[in-house]
Amino acid sequence: MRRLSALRALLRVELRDALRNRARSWLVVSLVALGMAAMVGGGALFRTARATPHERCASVLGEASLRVRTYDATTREPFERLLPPGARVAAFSERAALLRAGSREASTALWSFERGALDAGGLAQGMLRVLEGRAPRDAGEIALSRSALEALGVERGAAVDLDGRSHAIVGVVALPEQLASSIALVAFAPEQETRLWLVHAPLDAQARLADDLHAAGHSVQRRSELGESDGFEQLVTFVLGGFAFFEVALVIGAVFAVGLRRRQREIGLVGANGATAGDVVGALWLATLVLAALGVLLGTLLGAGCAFALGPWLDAWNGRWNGAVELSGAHIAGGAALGLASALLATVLPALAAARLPIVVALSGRRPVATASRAWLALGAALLGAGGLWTALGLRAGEFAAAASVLGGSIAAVLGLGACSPWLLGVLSRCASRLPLAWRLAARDAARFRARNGPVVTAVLAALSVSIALASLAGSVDELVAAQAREVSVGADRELVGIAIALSAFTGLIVVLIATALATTESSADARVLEAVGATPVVLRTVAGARAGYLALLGALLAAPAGLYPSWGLVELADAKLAFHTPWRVLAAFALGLPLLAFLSAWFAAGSASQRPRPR
Amino acid sequence: MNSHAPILELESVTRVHGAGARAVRALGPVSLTVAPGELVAIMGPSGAGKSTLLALAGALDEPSEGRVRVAGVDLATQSRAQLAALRRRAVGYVFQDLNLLPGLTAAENVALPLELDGLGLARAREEAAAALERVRLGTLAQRFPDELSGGEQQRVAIARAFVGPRKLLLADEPTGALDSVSGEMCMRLLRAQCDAGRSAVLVTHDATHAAWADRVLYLRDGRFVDAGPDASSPAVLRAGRSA
Repeated sequence: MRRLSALRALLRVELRDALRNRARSWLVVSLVALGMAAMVGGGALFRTARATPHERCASVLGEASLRVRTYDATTREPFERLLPPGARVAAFSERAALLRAGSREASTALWSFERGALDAGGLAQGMLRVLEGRAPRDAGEIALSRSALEALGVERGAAVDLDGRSHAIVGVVALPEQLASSIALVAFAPEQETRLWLVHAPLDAQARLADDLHAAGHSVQRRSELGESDGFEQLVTFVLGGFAFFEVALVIGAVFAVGLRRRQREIGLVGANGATAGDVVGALWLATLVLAALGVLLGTLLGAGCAFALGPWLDAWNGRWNGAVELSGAHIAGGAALGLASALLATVLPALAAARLPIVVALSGRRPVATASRAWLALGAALLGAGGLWTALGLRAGEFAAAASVLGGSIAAVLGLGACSPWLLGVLSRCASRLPLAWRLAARDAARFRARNGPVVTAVLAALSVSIALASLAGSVDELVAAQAREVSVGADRELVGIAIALSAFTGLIVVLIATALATTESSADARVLEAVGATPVVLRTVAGARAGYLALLGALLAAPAGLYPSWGLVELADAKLAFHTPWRVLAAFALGLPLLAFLSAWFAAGSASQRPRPR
Repeated sequence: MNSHAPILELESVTRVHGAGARAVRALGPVSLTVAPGELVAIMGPSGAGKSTLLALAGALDEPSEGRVRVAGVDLATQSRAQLAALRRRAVGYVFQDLNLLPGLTAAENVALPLELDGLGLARAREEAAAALERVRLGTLAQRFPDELSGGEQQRVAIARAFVGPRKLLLADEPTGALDSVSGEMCMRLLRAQCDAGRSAVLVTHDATHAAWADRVLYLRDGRFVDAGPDASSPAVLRAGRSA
């Protein structure tokens, strides 16, 4: 009862604080919402845009269980003799043809199906869709795809020449998986010979029939062979998706750590009035849960809204008939669980640190004594070693265990490098004596406040490492495609990689700027001293800019190994012979561009802050 | 506990920060006894150990040596949760500034220790309203700290320090950031609370404010001066209210 009453009182304090600091609260809500929107919206678009095993099968063999290409062209009756009792069969044909309309010509794939095969319940249902009008019934009729109509400059109702005969255009058709292809559909003649057959046999007879037909010299495709999903893409989604949510947790953690440091005295005051550490942690978690739940709700609405808004353009984008947008309940539930868990995980360390701070220290507003950086170095080295060992052992295990080891090893690598960062800040600070004043102050301040800057560097490196992993993996796939000289459209994938890189750089920039804003507040006394000894506003701005640029640079440099690690793991996991690729341009953009952007943002922000009237 | 038993006892209390060659003695050894209804003022230069003494008296810090008893309870025998309970029920604090949580109204700030102690919301608000009436701020109960003057904020803090069953107020330069009129009003309130049977230890630099106390003790370099090692002895320097 006491605990509930205390939680209610402190939750009120936390929620009022969230309302008072709307920018910070919105940042937390937005981070969860963006992850959720990506999961729900991106997941829905991905599911919708990708052919399901059923759709992939339907485009090749409709509703049939086997697609057979016979050695010679034959009529229906001799072919049916090869089949067991109870089997259904439908004949179809496909060949190249040249269509003419006036002076225009169009090369097309000419299809024909036995009457009724394309209708509901027919064996070819799903192989080809009639978009307008109807399928041809008689010899003088034809249906064309939109690209064929455009190439010939005709519309439905007009006539085209095929093999020297005029055919009336009665419909518009399309192959569901290749909407842009130029095709034509004509009626199948009753005694037409063909080599292509769709067969539906009882389940227990399918394997035997396939073997018999194959033994007789015919080519056979079975539904069960086509329906296999691509395991590697699922593994990539699992590893990079898990890594992205971990990144969200780290960024939110940095935001909370910074916020709680600001409110250190307030938390001390609560403790002085009798709140226990458990009360404080519980209230912080509950308030986080409220913000995260809001983020989940907004993210779900945003993701679903974007998916439905973008749905109509999806067919034109990927050139296939995608159907209605498919929202996944599993994606929503999984995203909600991950979003809430990420936010709670993010609060664990800052909340415990805030609650365990001695009340006298909290009330004084002084910085708590930082843990010795050598201890952090030892922890970081241990994490890096454990992560490497886990991945090395996991890669020899089964597919899922290997993917889990790559994800776990990657997270351990990020945490390990992050844990080393306080030590690194200390070392760099000692080497800063020859740097210009602003950069020297930045390096020294970063080391003085390394307990706070360690999580900030970790969050930046986590934000950037996802993109580096993605860029490296995309580069490996591109190299493979180029080596095999396959004509695969990778333009859309490159766009997605570009968007991901921009988003992660933006996230890293936000973290750095939040940390810089706090550093500026905490160093206001130093700024007054600088002003008193004659520092110009430009020097003060440069100090603020250097603080941001320094943290961004360190985060970007550490992100390189942290990002290349999961990419290497996934390359090792891939069945295809992928070669590891180092994305030098992305690495250079992060190492140079992000620090510069952070420097300029903080420089201008410091300028606008210094123009505000001073409190009396 | 009988009604004449001391509300606060410090027995040869020492506080040392750090260890070995880096050890710094911040306080002690000092002894102090505060009786019910007594207002004790502690004066001294910066760094004399005044705030350290208050932190030890209020269970915010632990002594390196010696014993601290609040309302008869030896703080050394208490768990962290029990010390938190003591802060909710027995001891109230008033600091120089930043006493109130900015996200809570005046009434909610005063009700906070009661709510933390598990009292129902309605009862807690009732007691908070009564406490605010006692410091003549009943009409401002729904205002947020930003909407109150510095003097009003300190009066809210005093109301919170004495809300519920709390008997001991520890005030660390509560008038330091106030003008003379507001400062005097705060001292009147403290005096009135002590006259009503509660006790207070006041740290101040201002002799006119210390004059409201029953006893004034001087602390220098961590020890009471002129009062001997035991500040509860009758030899302490006494300053009348009229001084």
